[in-house]
Amino acid sequence: MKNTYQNNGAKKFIKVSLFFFIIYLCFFYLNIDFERFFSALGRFGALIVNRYYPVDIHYVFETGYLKSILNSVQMGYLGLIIGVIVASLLSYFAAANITPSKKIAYPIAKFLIIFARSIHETIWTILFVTIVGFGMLAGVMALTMYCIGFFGKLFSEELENVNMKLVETVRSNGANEMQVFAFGVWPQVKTAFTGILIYTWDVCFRASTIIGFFGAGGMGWYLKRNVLQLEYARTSAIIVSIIILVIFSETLSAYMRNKIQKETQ
Amino acid sequence: MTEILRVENLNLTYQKGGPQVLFDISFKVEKSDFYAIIGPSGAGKSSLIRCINKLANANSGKVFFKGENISELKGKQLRFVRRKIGMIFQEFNLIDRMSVIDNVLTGRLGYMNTFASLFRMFAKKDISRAIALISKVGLEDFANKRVDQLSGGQRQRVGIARALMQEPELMLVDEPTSSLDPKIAIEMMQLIKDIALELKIPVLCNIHNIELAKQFANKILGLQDGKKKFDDITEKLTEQVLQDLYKFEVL
Amino acid sequence: MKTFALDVETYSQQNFTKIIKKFLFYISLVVIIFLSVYFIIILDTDWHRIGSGDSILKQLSYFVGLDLSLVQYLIIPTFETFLMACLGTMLGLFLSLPVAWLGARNVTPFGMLSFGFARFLMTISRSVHEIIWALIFVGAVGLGALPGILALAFRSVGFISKIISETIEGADKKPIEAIRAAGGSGFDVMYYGIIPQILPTVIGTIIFEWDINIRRSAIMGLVGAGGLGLAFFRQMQMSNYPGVTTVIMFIFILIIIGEIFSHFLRKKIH
Repeated sequence: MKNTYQNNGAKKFIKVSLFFFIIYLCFFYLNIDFERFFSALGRFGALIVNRYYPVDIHYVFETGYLKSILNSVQMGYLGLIIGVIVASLLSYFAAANITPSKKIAYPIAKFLIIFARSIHETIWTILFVTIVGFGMLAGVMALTMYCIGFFGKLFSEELENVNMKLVETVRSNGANEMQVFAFGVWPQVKTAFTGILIYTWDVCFRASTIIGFFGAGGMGWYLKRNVLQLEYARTSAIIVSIIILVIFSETLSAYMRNKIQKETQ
Repeated sequence: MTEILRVENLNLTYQKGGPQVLFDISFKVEKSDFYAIIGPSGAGKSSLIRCINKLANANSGKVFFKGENISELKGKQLRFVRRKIGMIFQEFNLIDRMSVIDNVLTGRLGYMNTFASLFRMFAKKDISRAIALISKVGLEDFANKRVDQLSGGQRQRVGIARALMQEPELMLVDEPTSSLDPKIAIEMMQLIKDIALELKIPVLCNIHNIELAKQFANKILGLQDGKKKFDDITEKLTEQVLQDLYKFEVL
Repeated sequence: MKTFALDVETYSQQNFTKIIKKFLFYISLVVIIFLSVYFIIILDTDWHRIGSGDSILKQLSYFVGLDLSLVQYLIIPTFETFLMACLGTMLGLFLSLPVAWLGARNVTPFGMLSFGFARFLMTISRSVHEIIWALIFVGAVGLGALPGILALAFRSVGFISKIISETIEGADKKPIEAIRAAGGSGFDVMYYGIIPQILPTVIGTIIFEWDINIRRSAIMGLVGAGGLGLAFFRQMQMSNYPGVTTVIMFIFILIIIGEIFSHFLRKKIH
């Protein structure tokens, strides 16, 4: 008995040491110089204090920038609406239990959702900017793809977890497929739909604030300009304003979520 | 005609390569029958019921509803037949956040077009019929109440009213009393029997409580491991038959 | 006592109002969408510059096809991207532990002060986009994989510590009481009481965040923080569109591998 106990301890120790050794190898492989890192930390602190402070608050209130804030919100909200509409449709086909065509529509829908989700919103932005040029159109298209991937994955999973017995019941009444969905599936996923919608808004808005960096409209574009022009005080002002807006949006979302939860209880 | 349902040589295997669930089942249900299906768990009782209205697809065999072969029906024709077959479920299967009357009205879906049903535009005729049925099952004081605030027995009665909205000519009942306590179970069986008698429609009822089966059914179908072991009037169900039927069931 | 009985007239009226409300809701939704599309896109876009449908199709066609000569040069960056995601997530976990401890109401040492501070840190972490984190760290430590790892770590802290702190708050008090009663120290309580309870959720969260980090890791290179992002950026700069498609393919394959891994790992846990 004592032997097994000791052996277990030894095994654990070996596992843990191996683990840290591998991490060390990784750092070595990636050419990460720890000395540079630690000296950089010190420099980092000095950097923040000297360059990024004081923050140029007034820049944030210039009309050009304020308009860009509005643009970011508009892009985010359009991308959300269109994305959710398309994603809802795709999710119906991408849910293994209710898809009408298991051999054709299901794999295609599933693939589209996974593909939309794999590509980062910034890459979508760059791609769409190449195709349709700078501006909000590219941004809306990129955010739409992002929302399709995000909402589509969560919602299709929700649909797959539905209690099929209720679906069967509506079928037994002689209902057609659309009625089966409306009365069998939808009542079960209604609250999850709104929850996932709000969650998607959160991430979508956050993305919309910076995709301007890569050519879409909105605050990100101002960020890029100021970074390129080495206007550090303005850059930090923009970053601060982005953070505050995102926090504001999240607080609003949390409030909406609570309100809806209370109403459906 | 008095023969409402005829099942011929039904075989069912759920998945490719999976076990066979039903073996060559044949029987007839007449208009005045209250047919109980009994047998140990896993005997295939639920599967058999589901093969009737094609919630499960039998691999071979025929099902005749009022003389018409419904085994190969699909789409619209299948829905027309399903409308005529009402089904009551073991776990009631109601839409929790909707009221009693909204749940009962969903029984009418098979008769409504999609647009009307999505916007819940029920005809006044349907609404009064629903209210009448709700009274018939004794829930008139709960018509507007949310079903998740009801007891088990009350919820099952909502399910019964819903099935009756279809104006069915056959009732399929899948373990109606398994989720209810014994006293309510007897009331429920009585309610189903009374309604069936009043509407002059047959009942095909899955039940694991043998006493209830003997008390309410006039004919019994005994299944064991997917095979028909007994098919006769209730009086002929002897202790010997029962012991033989349930001999493999571990208590 | 309120009665739930109904008659045809009452229900018809109730139903009618519900139907009208529903109808109006959907109509206004459609109207808002159309107006939004009109004002936001149609007015703001420079339609001349985009060109005709033809020129758009032509541009799209440039992306069709793969530049196979790149493949050998993409293998190492792919590996680097993958490693960055792993290390970033691990560092994120490491940094999340103290934050989660401060952010759990039942174990936080200085009451609302430390709790509020932890929540503040979590919010900052989640509100700052990974690109901004990457920019910050590239500015601080230079180019390469290190700023990418740091950016991913700092971005992940928000989510991981939030989940961990919520799990700690929901932990069952009974094992903790039992250990205290047996004379265990604060460390014992943590190690034998709390950690075994929160471990499954923690592992699930790590896998989830790791999966997302692979996606984020691929773009760190866009601002100089290592991985496939740099390859993407270069191919775009050279207007080598088939090359761009090739890089995207690699990113996609990497993500699929990550998805398979996390699916497999999650099954193993349950």
